[in-house]
Amino acid sequence: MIANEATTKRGKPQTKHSFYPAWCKRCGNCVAFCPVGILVADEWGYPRQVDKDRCTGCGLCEMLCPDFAITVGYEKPGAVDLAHPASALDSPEVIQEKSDAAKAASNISPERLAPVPREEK
Amino acid sequence: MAAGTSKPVGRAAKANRKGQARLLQGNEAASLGALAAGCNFFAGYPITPASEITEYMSREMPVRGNPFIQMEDEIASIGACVGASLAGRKAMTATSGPGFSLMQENLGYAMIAETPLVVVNVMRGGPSTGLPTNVAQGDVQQARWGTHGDHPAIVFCPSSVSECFELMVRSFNTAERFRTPVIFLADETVAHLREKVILPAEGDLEVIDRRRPTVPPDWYVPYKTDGSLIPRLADLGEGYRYHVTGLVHDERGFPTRRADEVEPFYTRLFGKISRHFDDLMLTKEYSLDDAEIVLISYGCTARSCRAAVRMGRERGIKLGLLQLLTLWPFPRRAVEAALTGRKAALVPELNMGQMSREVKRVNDGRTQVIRHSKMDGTMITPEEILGRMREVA
Amino acid sequence: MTAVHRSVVYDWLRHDKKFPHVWCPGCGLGILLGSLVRSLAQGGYDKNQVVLVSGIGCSGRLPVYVDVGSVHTTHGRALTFATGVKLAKPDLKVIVVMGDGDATAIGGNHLIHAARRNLDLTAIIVNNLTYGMTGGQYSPTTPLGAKATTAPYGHSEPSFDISALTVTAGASFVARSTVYHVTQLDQMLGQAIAKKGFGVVEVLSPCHTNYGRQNRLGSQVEMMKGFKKQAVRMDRWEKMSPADREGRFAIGVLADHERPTFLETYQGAVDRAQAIRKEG
Repeated sequence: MIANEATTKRGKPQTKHSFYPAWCKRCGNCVAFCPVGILVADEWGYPRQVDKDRCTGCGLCEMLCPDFAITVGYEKPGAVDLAHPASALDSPEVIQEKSDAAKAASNISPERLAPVPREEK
Repeated sequence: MAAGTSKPVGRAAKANRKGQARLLQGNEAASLGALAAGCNFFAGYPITPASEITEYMSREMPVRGNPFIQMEDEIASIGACVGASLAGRKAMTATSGPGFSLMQENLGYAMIAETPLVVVNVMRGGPSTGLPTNVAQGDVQQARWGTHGDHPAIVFCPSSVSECFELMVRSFNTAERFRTPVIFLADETVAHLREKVILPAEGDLEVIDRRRPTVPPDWYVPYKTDGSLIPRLADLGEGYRYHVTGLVHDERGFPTRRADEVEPFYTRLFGKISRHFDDLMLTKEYSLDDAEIVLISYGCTARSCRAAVRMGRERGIKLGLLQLLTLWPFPRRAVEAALTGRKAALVPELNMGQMSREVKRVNDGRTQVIRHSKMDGTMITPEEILGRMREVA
Repeated sequence: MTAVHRSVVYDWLRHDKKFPHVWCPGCGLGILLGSLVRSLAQGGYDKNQVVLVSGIGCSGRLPVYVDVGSVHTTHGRALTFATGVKLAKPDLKVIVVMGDGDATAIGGNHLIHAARRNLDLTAIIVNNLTYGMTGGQYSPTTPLGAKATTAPYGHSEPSFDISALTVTAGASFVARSTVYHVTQLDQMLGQAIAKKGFGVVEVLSPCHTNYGRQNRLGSQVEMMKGFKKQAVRMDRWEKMSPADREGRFAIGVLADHERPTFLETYQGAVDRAQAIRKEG
């Protein structure tokens, strides 16, 4: 288990989401199924955490992520998080390549990259 | 389950006693050959005229503590054999025409995944259910080209009960050495024939096992090869955690579509066989030196040819026989030599010319090649061959 | 046994295999992959003692991502290869991953016989109600009336209930779950893998790319919400009237009983054979 020293207002250990955009396919599972609704999609469809304090650390987002691109409980942030366990599976060159690609992608118009908006039912 | 052993027990042990003559059926001799070669896994499905092998194995495998299983069909039988082979067993299945047709898909899998395996096909009349209890040799080209996609094939064909034993040992040795499925293509007559056989003593047999990796698991690259072009095969569950697939794969065993990886893959798959053609192409010659007319034959038909050669020579016709023990790869060099300087060549077979076509292909103007086909569910007799001889000579 | 952390997944993914994997964004197979790995780690199995076998289709691509011995076989035949592996090396944990078409159409015969034989294998059947990889043709589990690329006017055949089929055929353990119910799925897989005898887990998984699109079911998110609505826990299911059951399915353990496995009964044959030979 990952030790966390910070606590939430309710006294629970504060969790930190770690996203690995290089593996993320922006499917939206994590955003849709977070029981407390604290994950949102950014303008490109990548998930982002908006309210740390309300995270219960249930890990559902991690388990429902088909691409192993989220872990709950890690501290280090970053566009391509080298602390993310997934990065251990990629070679440094691949990480660099993906990091560059992610950066390049962020310069392209968001409309091109964003997942096609889905009709709300 | 007790650890597998290939030591003959009971009746099989008696059979292996040196110099002891035994009256054996072709299917029994083939089974004994398999056991002598170290076969320690059998999966099959009943079918005439190959059931005797499955029955024999059902008696012998449990005695040795080895698995025997009758699967739900032939597809499953060969599937189980491939699985067992990957886990380190010497596996065999036995079938006949309809079952052999069903096995083609997984036979291709065994080829692309380079899994040692012996498949017995006892030929009966076809197509479809055909003539289940009659002899035929109609699966010669199927054994070569049955599974889809281009691939090499190794096919041995016995014509006597003792050859059933010898070629079965060789089939296993070849499968293990080349990491490939080998087809043992017998026919109903040879499989059901009972003959006196003198089996070699246990120590006189050369038994080859696949080359397993000697490097630590971290260094193992499953499809990386040396000059032999035959990669080393690790047993599943021995610490070598690798991937096996029916997709074209790279050296690590992972699927690939890259032209620069696909092409070397196919080149190696063919090359590992073609580099050793001389070891694979087996033939036997009978009175060939001064023969004016040469018979080229295989399987049960070669038996009639041997008699025809003897009878012909008694009547002053200079006949000779080249018997093919290896059907594929086609023993081109031996056939070319046998065709050179003859008046004519006759290829008797129980199909509409599957092998004579091949002989004609390599003949290249050396002599006149005549096919002699028979498709009535019975053997070609020596008299028929001699009669045909008179027509052509 | 202490609970393993979710991040154990990264220890079991193949380090020399390129990620992200081949499946469509949101595909349930990725969720199942994680769930399977967690249940293996939770069960304390040694990677060297696990063999994953798969057939053809989207599900066939699963074993290659796991750092165990993996065999990607031919369409529908995964169980036959697994039978060979298990008989050859009874100590191995052999787990078979198949799709619905793989397991119940082309491999239907192998499935019922594997269940009858009760060889110690675990069959994970990923049911997405369609042939996903080939473009959304109808499979034996496609519901009556649903659209498929080979049923453009609606499907004319009733569907198989995979779990009921394998229960009837004699499997020792049968459970059904969905990729939405992922914590339950972890448990079901763990139980099936630990079970002596043939264990089946039917996993409903969304194919929004091919099945969902043709049947206007929305994204995988909507399809998974659909699973949430339709799935009923076993205890509630048993109390429901047939009318209430309409359009729903039960999740949980459907069968769990002790039966001699093939290896046990075959050992009996081995013992008898050896005794007879000794007597001469």
